[in-house]
Amino acid sequence: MSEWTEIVDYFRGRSMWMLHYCTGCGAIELPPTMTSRWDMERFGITPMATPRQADILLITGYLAIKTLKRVVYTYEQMQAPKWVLGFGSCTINGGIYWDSYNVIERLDKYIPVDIYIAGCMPRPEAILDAFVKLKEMVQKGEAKGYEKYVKNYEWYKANQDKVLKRTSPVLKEIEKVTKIG
Amino acid sequence: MADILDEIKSMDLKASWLGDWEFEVFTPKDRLVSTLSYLKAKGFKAFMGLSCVDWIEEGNFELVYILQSYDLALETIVKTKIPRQRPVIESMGPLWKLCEVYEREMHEFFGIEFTGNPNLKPFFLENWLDIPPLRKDFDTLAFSEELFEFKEDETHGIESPKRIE
Repeated sequence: MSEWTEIVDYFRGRSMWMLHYCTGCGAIELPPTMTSRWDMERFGITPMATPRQADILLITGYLAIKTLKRVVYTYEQMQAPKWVLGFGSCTINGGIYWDSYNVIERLDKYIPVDIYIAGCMPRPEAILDAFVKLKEMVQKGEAKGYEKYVKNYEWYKANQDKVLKRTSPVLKEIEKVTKIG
Repeated sequence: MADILDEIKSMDLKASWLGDWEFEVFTPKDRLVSTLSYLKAKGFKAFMGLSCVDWIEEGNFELVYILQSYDLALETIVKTKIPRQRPVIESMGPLWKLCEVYEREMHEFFGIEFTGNPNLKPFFLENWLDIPPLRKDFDTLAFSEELFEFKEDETHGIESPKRIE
């Protein structure tokens, strides 16, 4: 921990680019957060079009299995340091999709999450609060989700493969069920 | 507009009004093509959608075709039942090309075979190996617990909501 790291962390917290990628219903909370009423640019956060140039990945709501695959691609394309914000109850424990057949339950089994925002969906105030908190964490050097991903890569990959690369039916008692003609 | 309903009833089909601008027709499986082509000739040219209801106690799937007529300002809902064990029915592709897309969806989510539809590939689901997920005998909770390893303690002490069966 040199002085340099502290200085770098200080400046990192003041210039964060948010990947312009939205899933689920939380996307609708972002236009007011970006535009003049709440104006997140005053915290130094602006949208960025490509994952390779972005620092923050927002998971704005439920993730279907299909979307999870794209999110993992996107997350792995982003360059460290990178941070993930999970929006709302869907990313925490599945929310209202807790018994759904195609929506994942816990986001941090598949990619590391730095901050969860409670709510269904969180209001722009809560999102800005999370950005401020993230900025503090980055400046103190606490938000290290990307290092966690590298260290526990096998664990994350095994969880992702369990969902994305299925080779046999999930429910074993398939004989009991009517055969399709 | 009442005469169109009388005409349908005279063809030995059950039909009734649902409102001022909407009626439903029940047709047996083997008369579905003739009923739909009759209605199309009568002005119900716009195919609005196809859906399916799983009547598991009866052992039937009910296919629901929704048609509209812009000239008559009417909507009709044509319902037909097919057995759940071997759900096979003709494709309505020759009448409405658009119907093939809906059939592809019904094939994926209920496992219904549409004879004559050349394009019954997977549509929304990726790498799906279980039984079609919208059938009533597919247990979504068991699937979710098995695949996503959902546990009660992950609700952080909050009891999970009661399922509506």
